[in-house]
Amino acid sequence: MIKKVGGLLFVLLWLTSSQAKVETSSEIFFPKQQARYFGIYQNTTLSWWNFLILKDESAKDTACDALNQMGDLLFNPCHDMPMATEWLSQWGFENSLLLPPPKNLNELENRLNQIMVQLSLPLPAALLTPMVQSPLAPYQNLKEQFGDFYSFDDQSKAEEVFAFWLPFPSHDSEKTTKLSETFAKLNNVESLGPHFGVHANQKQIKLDLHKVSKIAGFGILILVFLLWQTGQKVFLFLIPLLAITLSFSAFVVHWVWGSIHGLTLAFGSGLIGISMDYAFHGWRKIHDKLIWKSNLISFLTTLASFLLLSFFSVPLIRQVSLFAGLGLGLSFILSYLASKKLHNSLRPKEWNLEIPDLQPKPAMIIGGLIVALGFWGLPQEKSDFSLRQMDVTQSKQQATSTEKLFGKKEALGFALFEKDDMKALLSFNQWAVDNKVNSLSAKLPVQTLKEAQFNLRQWQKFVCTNEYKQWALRKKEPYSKIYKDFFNRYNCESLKDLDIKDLRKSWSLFESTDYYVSLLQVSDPILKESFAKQFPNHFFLEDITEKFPRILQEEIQWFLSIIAILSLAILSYFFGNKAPLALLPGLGGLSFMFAIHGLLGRPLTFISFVSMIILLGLSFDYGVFCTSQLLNRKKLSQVFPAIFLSATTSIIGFSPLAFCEHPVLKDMGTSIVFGLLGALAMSALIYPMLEVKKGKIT
Amino acid sequence: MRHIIALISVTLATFGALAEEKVLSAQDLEREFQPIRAARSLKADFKQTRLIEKWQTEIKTEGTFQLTNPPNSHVIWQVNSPSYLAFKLSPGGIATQTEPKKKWKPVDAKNIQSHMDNLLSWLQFDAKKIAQTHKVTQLQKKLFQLTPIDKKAPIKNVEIKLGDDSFPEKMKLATPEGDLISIHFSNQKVIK
Repeated sequence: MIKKVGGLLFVLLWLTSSQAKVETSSEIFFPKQQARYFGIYQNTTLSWWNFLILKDESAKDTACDALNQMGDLLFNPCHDMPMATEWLSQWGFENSLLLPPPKNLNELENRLNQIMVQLSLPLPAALLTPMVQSPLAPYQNLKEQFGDFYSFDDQSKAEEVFAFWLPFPSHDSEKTTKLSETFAKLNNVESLGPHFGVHANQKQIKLDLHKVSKIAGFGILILVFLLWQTGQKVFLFLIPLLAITLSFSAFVVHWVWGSIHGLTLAFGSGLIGISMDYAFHGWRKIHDKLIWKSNLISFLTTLASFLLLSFFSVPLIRQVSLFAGLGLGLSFILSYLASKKLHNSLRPKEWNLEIPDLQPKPAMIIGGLIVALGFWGLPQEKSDFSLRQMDVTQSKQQATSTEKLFGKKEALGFALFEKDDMKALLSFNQWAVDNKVNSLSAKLPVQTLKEAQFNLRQWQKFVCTNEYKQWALRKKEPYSKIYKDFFNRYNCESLKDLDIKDLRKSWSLFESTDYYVSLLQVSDPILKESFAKQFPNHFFLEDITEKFPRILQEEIQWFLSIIAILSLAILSYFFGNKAPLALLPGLGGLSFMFAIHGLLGRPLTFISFVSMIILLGLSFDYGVFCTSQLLNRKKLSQVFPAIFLSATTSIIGFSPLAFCEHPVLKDMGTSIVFGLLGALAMSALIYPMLEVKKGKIT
Repeated sequence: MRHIIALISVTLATFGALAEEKVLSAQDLEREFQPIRAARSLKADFKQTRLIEKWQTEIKTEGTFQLTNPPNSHVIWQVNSPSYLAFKLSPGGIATQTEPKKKWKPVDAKNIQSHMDNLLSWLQFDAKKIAQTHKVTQLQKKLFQLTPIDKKAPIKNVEIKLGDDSFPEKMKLATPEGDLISIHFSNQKVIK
């Protein structure tokens, strides 16, 4: 029964369709205080900014074509002269019905004439862009100044930046995918912003999950072969058993968080690898107190490292910690119960793994070499806790562009305004004008639905008057051609039965928005300070990117110190002054991990350090078993097969992550797999040497 | 008969060669524009028609043009009809006025400065700057065609026709989108 249920769950867990429902957001990387800002755009359809970086003049046309094809762009920087009427027809006319109508025909005519004069000018289209504002459009105060948002490369003027709003949330995957794929095809156009980031993240996580599934499947085949060859095939029974625990953990995580992240789920293969360890060690020796004591210590040290991770401010790490801690706890209990019940009926063959009989000298030399490699590798690549290291969207080129865009002297900031706080929004707009700060700001056409309904009724009255009808009939060329859409839409026939609900597209956008986000660019630090004082609900991207590594660094320092103290306390409790002996595999693991980072030229990221905590938790296990055997004058060959098997399963479990493209998974996979190899090598080198010495002494 | 055809061909070729457009240097152009540049300022009414290719329709505007030469160099392009809108273009920047006698509001044009310089050069009849950024050809007496060297310029070419008094009479502009703008100047007043 267990086999069937477990097998089914295992298949379900790795099945593509089940993976399609996992969460793939990027905010999961941000500490709570920062995630708040980055999460806002999920609920803020109206005004969140995305950017296009145009590498040369020709890119502008292609980017504009793509933007115009999007149809329902809320703020389109491309509405230059030929686009003016299209823009009017798409947004201006529609939204104008939410605004009060003109007082009289003269005012309306004046508005139409104003835009026509602008259309007649022999000025460059780029200059007309900031000037051509529909006199009917509700966003006439949208741009206080176009300014530097138009170009950010002051030296060459070769690159331009378009900031634009998308009227759909980033998690609207169909639209976000269409948008991202459109811009991905364009040469000389780089796209940055939450919508593009979310899409890239989703795509990569899903691809990586597929990869993990495939490689993990291959890994299981290797495991089956290994267990078969060594006569340990009864342990295959563990796979469905662990799938049950893993599914349960996933269920609990989903229940607690409301969803489970793809990256957490990808960690599952590694977790299966770790969870098998307890049964490997204790199955045959259910009555061996020493073995189960060692198992308990191993479980506690690993659990301690995962529990510790639950105090991190990064939600992803907390989710992984809950998933892994729960999975491990259940696996330990199930392994104990299964061993107790089934060890007689399911007996693996005796397997004595011969450890190569190395002389102390070469063993010391190789062990020393591993540590020396670690010392060499550590300073090769400096640690880098920056956000960039966790972002899948950041190619090198994009990273440079982001740095140019957000890391320049003029800080790019976002001012947040709650939906009802119109006063603050207006006062920000005024502040930006007074201080000559470049800003792109949202403004509501009307504040309440009641007001919008009233205005629509006024429009209906206005266009149904005889004066208006006659005026409209009298309007010949050029009005009839330029304002064709306007006359088609704004007549008694079209508007008389219109209800506010019919303007859903316009109104629902305003309704669904909790915040308005204005974009601003400040170069003067004093001005930045004054802004911060006046508008506390704001954030600057540079501040967030600067704070992010600092927060993580502080946490890592704390947690590494805690795990060191905690592990030493647990080990000292059990092994007394011989506790440092149990740390040797950990030392080997860390050294090998640093060496690999140095060799591959990869900086140690926040994830490397998180992996380090997991690695320490795992490698202490080998130390605990070996030290326990040594101190109790028992043969290492009794525990080595289990250590070898558990290391192999953990390596098989984590290695799929090393093949992933997502930096978080890749870093975690590489760090843990190579760390485990180092830990295993150190265990195999040093402990037998101590055993020989001990024999001689005895 | 063959001799007659040959003779006609030679004659036509000779006239063709005589009628060939003449490329002007900065000095030639300076000579042509000298009366305009010598004045302290020049004021004229204009009637403009823009044929918008996209809609196959014409937008007609009327207003005044005012050129003030250095030291206080600037150009004012004031549209009075169908609606008031005025532009003040100077080497320092561009400003707009939406109602008469109201405050001029600066417009940020620094990112398209090179295009603005081009525009200003021929609105100010600045021969030196025109020659630097345009290929200048003389089509007829007092009729010049300026073609921007920068192919991305917002104007494809400009034709300037001067009157007998050497003051601007007509301008024709073609845009890359296919729009044609023709401007007729009248009531030219010169302040010496």
